[in-house]
Amino acid sequence: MNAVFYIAAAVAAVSTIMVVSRSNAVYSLLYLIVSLLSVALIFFVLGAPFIAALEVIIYAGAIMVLFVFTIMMLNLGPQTAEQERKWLSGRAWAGPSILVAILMAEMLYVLWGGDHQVEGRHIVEPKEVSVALYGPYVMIVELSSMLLLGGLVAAYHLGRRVHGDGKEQQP
Amino acid sequence: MNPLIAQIAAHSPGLRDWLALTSVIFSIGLYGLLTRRNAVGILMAVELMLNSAAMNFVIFNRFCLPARMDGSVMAIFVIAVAAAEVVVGMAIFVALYRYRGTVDVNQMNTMQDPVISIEGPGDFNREVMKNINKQYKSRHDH
Repeated sequence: MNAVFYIAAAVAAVSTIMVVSRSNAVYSLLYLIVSLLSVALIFFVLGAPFIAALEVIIYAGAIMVLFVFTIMMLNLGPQTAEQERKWLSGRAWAGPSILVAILMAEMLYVLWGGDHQVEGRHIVEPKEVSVALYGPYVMIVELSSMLLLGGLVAAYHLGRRVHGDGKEQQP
Repeated sequence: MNPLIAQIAAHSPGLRDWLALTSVIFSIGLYGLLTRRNAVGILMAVELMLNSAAMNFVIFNRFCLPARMDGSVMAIFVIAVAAAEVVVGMAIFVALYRYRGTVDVNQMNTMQDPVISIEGPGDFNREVMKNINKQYKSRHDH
């Protein structure tokens, strides 16, 4: 289990360095996904499986879809087709898939081969987190719901299409 | 087995190891934040920094309050804040790209009409914005 931490930490560090050092946005996006997955594995090792699941679902799922969508959208133009061919060349995904294969091997080791009961560590269950969320932390839940609503309204306002006559387009 | 690898494998990660990892990730994110010129890349670096902050919450929860789960709750809020931030940031970048045809932050140092000339969808939208500005002026000038 200890080696799991060190390997996952090494994968996280390497993929994070690749995120900031690649000049192509799509390459660094692939490495960012690897970094988030390795951080999820680290949460798992840390005894917070609920946060690990949320990390994969929200970060590596929803937020990354937004990033991919925006990168696709900002690369409009005649060079799009050639760029798209270049994006998914073997060189682009070879590095991330090697790192992800390491993470998957670790996950399989934890699931089947690993020592499951490690020093009586306290595992944070989803139930206690949920009870705390709607108990002492209910005010912050309300605040973050307002924050998300504000983000939604702002995104709609900024992203609306404007006609030449200054009127908003009716959907 | 190599003795160094055996020693690393037998060494139980303590608070210092975890914090070293999060500070490494945070520093790399800060470096990316300062050096990237693509706005989307800057947002990615901010994501990395937020991620390491959430990790810090969970780590301190485990080592300082092992019987409680407040760190996990705060990590959930950090993730929610990151989601809201990404949504608004992406909307801003899309709007900027429509108007200026680029998301290079070096060319965003002016709040007024850009003087750079760019081919692409920015031209059309600049016409649109000029029209809107004219109408706005005619409504508010008298």
